[in-house]
Amino acid sequence: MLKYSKSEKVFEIFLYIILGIIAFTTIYPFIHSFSISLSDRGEALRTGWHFYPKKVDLESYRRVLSSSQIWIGYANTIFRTVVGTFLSILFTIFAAYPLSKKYLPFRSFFISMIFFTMLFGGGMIPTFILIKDIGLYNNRWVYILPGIANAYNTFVMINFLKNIPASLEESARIDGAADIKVLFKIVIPLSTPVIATMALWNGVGHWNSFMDNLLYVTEKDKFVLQEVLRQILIQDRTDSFAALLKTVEKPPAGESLKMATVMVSIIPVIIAYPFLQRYFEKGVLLGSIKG
Amino acid sequence: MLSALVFYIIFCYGPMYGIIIAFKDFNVKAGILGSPWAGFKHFKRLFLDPEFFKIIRNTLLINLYQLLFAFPAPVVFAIMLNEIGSKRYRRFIQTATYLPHFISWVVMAGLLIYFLSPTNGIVNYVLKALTGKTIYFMSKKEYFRSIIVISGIWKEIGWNSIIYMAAIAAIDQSQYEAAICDGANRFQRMWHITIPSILPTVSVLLIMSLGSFLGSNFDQVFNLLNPVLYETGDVFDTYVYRVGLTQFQYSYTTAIGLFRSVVGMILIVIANFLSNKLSNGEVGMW
Repeated sequence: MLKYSKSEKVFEIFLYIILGIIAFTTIYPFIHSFSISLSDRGEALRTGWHFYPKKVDLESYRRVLSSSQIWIGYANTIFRTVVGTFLSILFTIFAAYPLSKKYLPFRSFFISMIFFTMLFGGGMIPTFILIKDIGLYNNRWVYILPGIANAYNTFVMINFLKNIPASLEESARIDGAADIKVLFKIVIPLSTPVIATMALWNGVGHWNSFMDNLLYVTEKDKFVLQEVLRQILIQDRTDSFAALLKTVEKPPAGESLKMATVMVSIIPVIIAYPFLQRYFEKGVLLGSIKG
Repeated sequence: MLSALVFYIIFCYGPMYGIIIAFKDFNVKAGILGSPWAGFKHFKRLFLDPEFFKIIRNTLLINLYQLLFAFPAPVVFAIMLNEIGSKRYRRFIQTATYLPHFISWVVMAGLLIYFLSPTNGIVNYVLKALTGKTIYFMSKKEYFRSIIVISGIWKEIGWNSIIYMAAIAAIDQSQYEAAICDGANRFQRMWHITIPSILPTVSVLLIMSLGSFLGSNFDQVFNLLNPVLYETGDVFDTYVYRVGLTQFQYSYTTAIGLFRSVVGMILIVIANFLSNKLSNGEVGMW
């Protein structure tokens, strides 16, 4: 085995410490906010380190979970994540499959047409006017439909489909399978790795986005979770919990309520995280292949 | 099967048609076609507007700082991670640093504002213990750009290092073995093997990042911004959103958006040309 000199060993110890500090700064905020979310008023307002909740009080969770706005946000976010991810992958395949065939008429025209959208866009205001004109304003489908046209994903998918051996499809065709059957029985099952990775990107994107809500939706019953969170966390509006605040003698601190909201919103991501991890590296590398 | 193209026509080309309102005086009642033409009025106003130069300056400065600090950070991080002997420790660091990538900017900004708070934020707690001073980070405009750059590194350093880790993993191990036989020490191996081997990846990603030099992360900037910070923190998206959609100056902000899109497109084309040239056509978007 390798023998390191003294300076090399010191260097390695230094790296362990530096990397440890970096990892600490990314993990600690979540530990801290988890502790605050479970702490009673006095403990939550104490300045300093919070590695674990000292005086446990579940009151903030009780309040957050009894707030109807959180549940509305949750329902809308789950809707857009599930339906949105499904539809955008389905339509990405629909666009990419014919375009992966060299013999498609006008292929290069369609490819350039999709490609151009990566270079140039109408911008925020014309998009806003369009959304209003076609009746998607204050409509839950605004979270889903515009995202279906995703040039980047389409090109990644085209690249992947190009590499499926044509002989597999031909033999199915000889057996009399129609195009649509070839797609669903052969092409899609062979593409599960790319579909899984794309579903991961898409799903996380849907879960975390709020900009379309901010721009196009003003009715509170259609808000997504991130917008509900934004109003509580960034705009400091804890008034949706305020009605309940007077009922106990020692109400939880505002911080606890906020951190409990954070926890409630990120728990699905944290639970999914270990399962998603194996797709990470694949996913990043997938995007770096030339189109 | 080309039903998906309908979505491109509606949601990508539809707004492009709407750009013509940059040359009109748009009002909602008359619609896009019915509004009167205004020629280059909005563009003339734009080039005389000090606000416009302010958002250009802010956008360029934030991107410049990101290029100087946020871009190299994951490269250095990946090299450091590669030098760690213990696989379990490396795995732990990766798991910990990838996590924030999956958390929304709303949450990250919320946590950041809370941690930077002068009254009970942990950052000021540490700062006070070390220097005896507290800093009102979120109400001092001189800190805003640093906060954007550092919080960007904080959230994405692990994730952005994946591609460099892959480049390092692809290095032929026999090179290291040969270097060891020749008596190269650890630092020499890093300097003469690891760094040159990942340099092509680094330079291509660097050039690609130039293509988005007029861009900004709306989710991040918008959630961290407050009116006190407009002077140093307002960028294209946040300004267009505020002035366009909350003050209803549709035509003027469309003109600003068009300016940004055109310059942005030129930058992407240049970036792609350079990266093709540099890699002899192997890496590039087209």
